[in-house]
Amino acid sequence: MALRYFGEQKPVFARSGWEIPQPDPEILRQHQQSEDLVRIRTVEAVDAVSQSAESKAEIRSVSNHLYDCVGMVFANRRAWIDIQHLGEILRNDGYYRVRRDELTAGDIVVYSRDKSYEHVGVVTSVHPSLGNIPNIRVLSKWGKVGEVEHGLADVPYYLGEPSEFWSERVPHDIRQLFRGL
Amino acid sequence: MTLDSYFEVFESLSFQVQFSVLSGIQSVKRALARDETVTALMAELAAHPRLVAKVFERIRRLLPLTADATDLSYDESIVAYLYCLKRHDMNLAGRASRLIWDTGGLLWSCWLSYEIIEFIRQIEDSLDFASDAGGDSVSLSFAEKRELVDYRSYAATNHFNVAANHKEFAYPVEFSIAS
Repeated sequence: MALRYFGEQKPVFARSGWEIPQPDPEILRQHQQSEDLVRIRTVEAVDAVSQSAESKAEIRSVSNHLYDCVGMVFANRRAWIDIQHLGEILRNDGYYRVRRDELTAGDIVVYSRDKSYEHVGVVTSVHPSLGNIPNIRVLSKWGKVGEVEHGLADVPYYLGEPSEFWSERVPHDIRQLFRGL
Repeated sequence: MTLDSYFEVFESLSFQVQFSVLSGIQSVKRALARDETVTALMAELAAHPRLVAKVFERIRRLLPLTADATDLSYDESIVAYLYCLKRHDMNLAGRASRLIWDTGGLLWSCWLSYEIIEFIRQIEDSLDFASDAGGDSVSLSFAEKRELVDYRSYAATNHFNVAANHKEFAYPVEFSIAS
């Protein structure tokens, strides 16, 4: 099998110290796609998502370097981490579940379909809007295409629906204690 | 739908984009299993097995086009064809996987090819081990070797399908030809 060599794959560690498995380096070394191709596909993916006027999805960045949604959130855009490791990362790295109405910027949104984790993103803002439902914006990397800032539920069909919300921020009552010090 | 109509859908930009946003080969396989066009093509291949060779041929025709991709890399089209092939003809899926791997440049297609090639290798190693353990490696006749090759092909296809229908590639392969 002819392989192109793009340098040694570096390990990625979770905050709690364990090494997060990555796909076999032989597979990632095979991959090549131009930035133009990524750009065209990102535009197509964004256009295909149904969106209301006030929650229009916007492309944040386009890159032909290979990282995915989990790599964007947990490895600083430097790794492709299979979505199957997401649960383990959240459980071991000190994240805890929060309710949708508790979300603030920096929290994590997990998307699922048929009880399988399919996607993850970071909350960028929570704004009050008409009615009682806040306008929640999320930044996420859509697989091989670009990073997109979008409304909470405005992701391609196969990425699933927002199903879990996680955070590692200090809970509000403890923050009050810090202020007293 | 005719086979050509399936090819047209599989190779459209909208089909490719919906699978390019996923985050791993397991997600891709789950999405392909849910996709109506993919399941319809698989039903068509089950009803008309002679079409399987045409799907293989389609992969061969697409591979040279991937290098000059502008808006279409065909990665998702090829992985969808390969996904269908491996459900119907493991021998052809193995051949297609080697072609895809040697062409390179793709992600999902290379990833699935890698799994298929590894899976076949495991089965072959397992069969070699069983063969050696049985002490029957000495002086097989041509007819016996032919029978062994056919048996391996049959065993690989069946074993692969059993694994694919449960938890893909997750089970160690144990096989004996001693009996």
